[in-house]
Amino acid sequence: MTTRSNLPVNHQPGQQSTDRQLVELVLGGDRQAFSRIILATEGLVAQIVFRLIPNEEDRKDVAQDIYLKVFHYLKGFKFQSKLSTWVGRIAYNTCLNRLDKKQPDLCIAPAHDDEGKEVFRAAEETDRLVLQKELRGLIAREIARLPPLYQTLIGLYHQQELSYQEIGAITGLPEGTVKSYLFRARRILKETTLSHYKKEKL
Amino acid sequence: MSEKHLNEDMLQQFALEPASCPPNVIAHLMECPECFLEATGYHQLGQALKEQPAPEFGFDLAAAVMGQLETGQGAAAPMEEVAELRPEVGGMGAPTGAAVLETPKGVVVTVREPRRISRVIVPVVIAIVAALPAWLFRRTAYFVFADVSEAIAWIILAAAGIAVVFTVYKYYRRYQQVLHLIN
Repeated sequence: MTTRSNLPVNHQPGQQSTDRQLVELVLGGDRQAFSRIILATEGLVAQIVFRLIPNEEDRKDVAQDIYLKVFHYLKGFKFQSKLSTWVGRIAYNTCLNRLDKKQPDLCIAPAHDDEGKEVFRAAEETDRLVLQKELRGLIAREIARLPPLYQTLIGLYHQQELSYQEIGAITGLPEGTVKSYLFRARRILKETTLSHYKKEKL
Repeated sequence: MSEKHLNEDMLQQFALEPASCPPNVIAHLMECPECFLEATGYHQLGQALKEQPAPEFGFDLAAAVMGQLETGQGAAAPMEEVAELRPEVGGMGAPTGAAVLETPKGVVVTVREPRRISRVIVPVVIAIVAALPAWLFRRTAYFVFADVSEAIAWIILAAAGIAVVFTVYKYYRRYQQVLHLIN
C-alpha cells in the first residue's frame, strides 16, 4: 500500500516533534505530552477496543487501562516501531486478556451490533437516501456480524489506513494471514450485501 | 483475453490496490465486462468501508487517564502486553513468520499465530529438551532419589506433572481464544 500513512504519532498540523521527542518529554515529566499521545492514538485504540470489547462499560475501563500501561512502560519503548503501533499492540493484547478473563463476554454477541443497527435503522427510516448512503448503512450492519477479528482488521485497514505490516505488528499475525483474513472479510461483506439486494428485489 | 474469469482475490486487488495489480489482470479487466462489474462492486465496498463512522469513546479519555495518573491509581501491566516490537527480527519489518517482541526488561517473547505444524513440533521439542538432561543425568538422579522416601519422590513428580499440565492448558486456552476470534 503506497498511500498508507507513515507519520509519527503526533502529526497534527504545526507539530513537528517526533515520537522520540514526545516520549522524551513524557519521561522528563511533561504530562501534557502524554495527553498528546493519547489524543493522537485514541482513534486507533477505539478501532481495536470497539471491535473486540462488546460491553460499553468494559470499553471505558479497557481504554484507560491501555493508556496507564502505555504510561508505565513508556520507558521501555525502543523506537523500533512507530509509537502508535506500539500503543496499538498494547491495546490489542489488553483486549485479548480482558476477553480471556471475562469468558461469558467472549465476543459471541458481536461488537458494535447496536451501533450497526442504529445506522441501518436510520438508513431504513430515510429510505429516500441515495444508494451509497444506503449501502453504508447496510455495510455497517454487516460489519457488526463479522467475527471480531475480521471487524478489527477491517477497521485498521480501511478506516485507520494502516499497512498490512503495521496491522501484523499490532495483532501479532503474519502479513499474509492479515491479507487473507481481509480478503475473506470483504468477500463475506460483498456476498451478504448482494444477497440483501437480491432479497429486496424479490 | 483469457476465457477464465478472475478470482475474487484478483478482483479485490484490482479494486483496492490497483498499483500492485499484475498487468495481465488489468488487461483482462479491460476486456471483460463481467469481471469489471465485479471489481466495481469491490471498489464501492472499499469506499463504503472507508466512509463508515469511526468509533469514538463517549468520554474525555485523555482527562480520565491523566486524572488517574495524578491520583496514582495506575496499575502495573503484565509484561507480555507491553512488549516492544523489534523490526529487525520479525516484528514490524519482517514479511513472514512470528512477531518477535522484546519486553522493557529485555526479555524476548515470540508471538506466533497458532499453526498446525507448531502444535506438533513445539511439544516434541519441549519433550526432547526435558528428556535429554533426565537421560544424561539419570545415574545422578537415581542417587539423589535413592535417599529420598518414595512419598516425597511421588510428590515431586506430581508437582512437576501438574506444572506441565497447567502450562499446556494455558497455551491451549490462548489458542482457543485466537480461534474463537477468527471464527
